[in-house]
Amino acid sequence: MEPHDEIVAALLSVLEPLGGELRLLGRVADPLIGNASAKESYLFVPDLHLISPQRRAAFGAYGFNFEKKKLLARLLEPLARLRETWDVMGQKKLVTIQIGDFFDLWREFGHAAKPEEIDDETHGELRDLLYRGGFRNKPYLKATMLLGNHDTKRGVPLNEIPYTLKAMNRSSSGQPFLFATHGDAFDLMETLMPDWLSEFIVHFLGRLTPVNKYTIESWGKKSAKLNKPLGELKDFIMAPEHALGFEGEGAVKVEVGAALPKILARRTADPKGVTHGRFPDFYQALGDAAIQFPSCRRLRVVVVGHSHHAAMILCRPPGGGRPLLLMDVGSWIEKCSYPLDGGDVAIEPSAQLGVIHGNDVRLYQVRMPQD
Amino acid sequence: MDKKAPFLAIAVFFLAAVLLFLPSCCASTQELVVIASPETRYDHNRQQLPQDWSLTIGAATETLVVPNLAQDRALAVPPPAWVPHSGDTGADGLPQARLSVLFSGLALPLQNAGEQAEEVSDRDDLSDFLGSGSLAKTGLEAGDMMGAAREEVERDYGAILGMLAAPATLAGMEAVLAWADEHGATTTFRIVDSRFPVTAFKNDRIAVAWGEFWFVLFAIPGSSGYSRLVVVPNPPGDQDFAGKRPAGS
Repeated sequence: MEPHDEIVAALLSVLEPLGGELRLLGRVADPLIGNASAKESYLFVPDLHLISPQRRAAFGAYGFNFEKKKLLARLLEPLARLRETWDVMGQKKLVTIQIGDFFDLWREFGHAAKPEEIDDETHGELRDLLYRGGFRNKPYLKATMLLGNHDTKRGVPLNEIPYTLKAMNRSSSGQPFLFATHGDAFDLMETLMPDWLSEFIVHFLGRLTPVNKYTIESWGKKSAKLNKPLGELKDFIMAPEHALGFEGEGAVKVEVGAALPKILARRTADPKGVTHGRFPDFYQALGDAAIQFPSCRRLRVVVVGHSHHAAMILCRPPGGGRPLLLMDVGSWIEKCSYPLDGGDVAIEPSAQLGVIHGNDVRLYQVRMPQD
Repeated sequence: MDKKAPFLAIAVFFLAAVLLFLPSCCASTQELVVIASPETRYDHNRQQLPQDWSLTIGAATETLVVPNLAQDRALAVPPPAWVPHSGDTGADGLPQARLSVLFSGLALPLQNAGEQAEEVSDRDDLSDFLGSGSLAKTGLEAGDMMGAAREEVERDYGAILGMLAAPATLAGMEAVLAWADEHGATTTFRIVDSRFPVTAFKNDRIAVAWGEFWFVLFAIPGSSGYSRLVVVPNPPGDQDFAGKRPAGS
């Protein structure tokens, strides 16, 4: 069985008994991805914005979708076991990246952050499955945890989480195809400095900035400027219902071995014509970096979160220009709407996952029966 | 009696007090480096299987079998390959204390190439660790994703990586201090090491701060120059190691 199908089978082993299913929100299966390795499969877990039950009570209906069912943890359990099986066999590898805004310390604490007061068991199953199970004798995903703007409050993180600001796949050539970051960097940098695009390139992709300029603490302190005041967060978080820009005949059901459209993405020839997720800035930054730095010359895929608005955007400039695929992995909070292949429109809790294997990039929506 | 005698005595007293106070005063201004848990410290090439080694305690020599680092839970679960203790449980029913993974530090001078062509060199593995940042706790095994490209690590850490590969600089404390002074790097001798009895490296270790890490150099008694390296995050996390005091003090 192909790795994509093994992952689908693992997810459906949980969903089908619950009456749930997977839908395909986006896919690009094309050599332009430029992934030279068939060994790794990459799993992307988007913004979760976890808060404690006590704090959730204060926020009313706000929160992490399907929390009572512990659905995400149930979905990740078979994947953690799959990772261990693959590791033992040695031929395949499951690499997980949580794309940031895992804990929402901004909502968890009204004033000064005291992450050490968060109970060890608060969302303990997700913490175990993603990054700390190895120290508790449990199967886990050993996830790379990206820093989101809600993961710290005034620069203070939950110290048990091994954060990084960005991640790239390991490549035997030293030239990765994949770049992942939370997605707030441009929003923050343009408020701080006039030459923010250059700053992003030299810090996130290249050389020549001073050492230790952006630590997790300093980045977190700066990113606090992006966050809304606490009083506005409740309304802000309850209102959105993201209409996912969708090209094609609707989201098809995903099953093991099912034929899927090879390209299901918003397509554009002009990177400046895309308004989603700072796409033009990523396009320019990666292009400039590719000229300056050898390690950036094969970057073709950017994976982000931050917007809570799942999307797959493929830019192929005419005349053989440099292509770029952006996958916004969405979130597990708020709602989304998108067309189904039968013609109906689904309006449901956002619950997205991204998966890459080889040159096949996919974005899934987890659907559950409406309560 | 000489009228100056009391003043001389007072002056001598004050001078002695200053001289006595000075070392502790200066020592207290030095930063404290704590070599703590195995997952945070970097002390071996994570992409090469370490060799088993022997530990002599008194007249007895015991071979320590290094667990398979590919198994993430090696620290949490004593691998069956470890030599079992002669009593499985104590009188209270709890298991005997377990040994955790122990490495002697990365060999210095830093090697640029592995012995075999396919091996990852010590320098490349260390660069990979440094690129993951101080909060990325990957000291036991390299993470699945890179935190930074090679150019970035060279940008930020090229100078100290060069120093760690230079036998002349590693020859002794004076050479390291001179290098640190030239490069504006902070140094300290206040090092708490959770791995070995402190006396084993007494006066033969120095830590140099660079970027997000402390680079702790060790000289083994009887050998010339610094020959082992351990890297720890700077700052070490949210614990106030310097402020810790014995209970009740």
